[in-house]
Amino acid sequence: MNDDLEQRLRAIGNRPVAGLPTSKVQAIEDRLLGTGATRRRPLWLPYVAAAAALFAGGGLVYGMQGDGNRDSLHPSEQLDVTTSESHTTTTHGDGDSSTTTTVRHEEPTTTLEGVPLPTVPGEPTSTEPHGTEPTRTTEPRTTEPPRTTLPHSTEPPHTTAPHSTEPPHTTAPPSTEPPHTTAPPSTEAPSTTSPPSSIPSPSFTITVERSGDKLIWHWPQAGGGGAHHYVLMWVTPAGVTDWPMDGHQIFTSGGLGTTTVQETYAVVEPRRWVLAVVTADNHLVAISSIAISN
Amino acid sequence: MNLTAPLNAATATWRSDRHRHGPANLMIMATTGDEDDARLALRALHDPAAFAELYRRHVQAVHAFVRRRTNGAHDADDITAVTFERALRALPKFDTASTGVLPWLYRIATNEIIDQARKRSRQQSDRSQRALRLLHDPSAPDPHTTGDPALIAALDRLPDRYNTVLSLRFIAGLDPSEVATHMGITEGNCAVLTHRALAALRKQLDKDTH
Repeated sequence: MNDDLEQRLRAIGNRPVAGLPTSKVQAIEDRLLGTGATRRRPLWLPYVAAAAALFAGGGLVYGMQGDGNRDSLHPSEQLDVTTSESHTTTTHGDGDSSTTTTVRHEEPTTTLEGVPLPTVPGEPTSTEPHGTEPTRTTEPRTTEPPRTTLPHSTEPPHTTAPHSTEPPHTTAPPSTEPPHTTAPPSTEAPSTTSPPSSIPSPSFTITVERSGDKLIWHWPQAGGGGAHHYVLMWVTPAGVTDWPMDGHQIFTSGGLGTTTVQETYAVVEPRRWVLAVVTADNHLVAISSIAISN
Repeated sequence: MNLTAPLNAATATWRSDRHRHGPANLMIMATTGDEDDARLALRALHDPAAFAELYRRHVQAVHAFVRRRTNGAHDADDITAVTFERALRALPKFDTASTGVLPWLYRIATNEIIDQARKRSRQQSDRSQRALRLLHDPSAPDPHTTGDPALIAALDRLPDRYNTVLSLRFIAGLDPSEVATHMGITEGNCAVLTHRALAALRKQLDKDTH
């Protein structure tokens, strides 16, 4: 009864079709392996880090306001807390329009005057794995700050802080060792949300648009400065925080001639994209502003 | 493209799944016919190069199936790519002992084709669908040159299970037992489902014609 339909269906299955060109095979393979890694990246990690930083920062503030009932190293009646504010203006270019965001940083300074404070130099507690690491010279708060002057000690934690898991100092046992009464004030710079110095500021604009289940990116052609090719990657709201951003890269061009690319992204969700211009040996030359797709 | 970083990242993740697929599965695999594919699929859990090998081995077959099934008109390349992306994500759940890799890929591709067809049908108005149907002349199909667009169009409008069973059974050319395995039904049920699907297809063709 249905033999004719079966025949027609089988004929479709036997129909000769052109094979997938080698270039396409390679392109899909590249995209496939890149995507597989990207989707496995734990996206919740930044949020956990932010929560841990918040907890650590809160604990630090709490620990600094000792009330005598705990084994605090810092009696509350001798705290003199002053707060200074600084304003940072950041401009985000986005297409033809630009928006200006003002970020306020509150930088309270806690000063303890003339109080002999017991400290535990050279004695890391078990909960402070990085507390005495001498080699981490580039990380501002990896060494224990001097106790007499603690600038930025109550600074709100930022979400990208690498020392977000550093616990507060409230659990450190009292020490019988001599106090540091003449410790110099810290000259360490406060941690900020700006990327490391090796990351250039955004210097051009990339656009992204959706067409059906595809996303299409466009950007101006780059040149000079040793630029060799482009790398398109997705980023978090923090933007490009380090380089290379392993697992974020979804496309790498073969040269500088490419100024547009499209990829299938059937899932409609907001995503942030940045195009990097890199040298042949994968050093950053320039990055675009963040483009957001839907 | 510089794949070093993604490959390393993927390796780190895939290692976590290795313990679920231990030597016991390897022993089962040795008794199955599709040993090479099955071993590769197991190795791909922690070795991206193995998945790349699986991909290279089957990409043309999957692409040909997609092109035939979609009549080559819509995004066969993209559907092929998405099929392998889905396969990569579903790899930890893939049972190497019960079925081969290629039928599994065909099933994933079929699902993707159905999804795409559904999206297209949502996007197209009834009026434009009627216009498209007029372009296809079901009275004079020429499967070797056109791919029988009327039949493909009718297939796209069938319920998913009917669509799947006919695509896998006749277009992909799978055995009834393989189709049954992938659809999670018995062979007897598969035969019944196939019969009903053919009847529904005929009905749909008649409806499209008039």
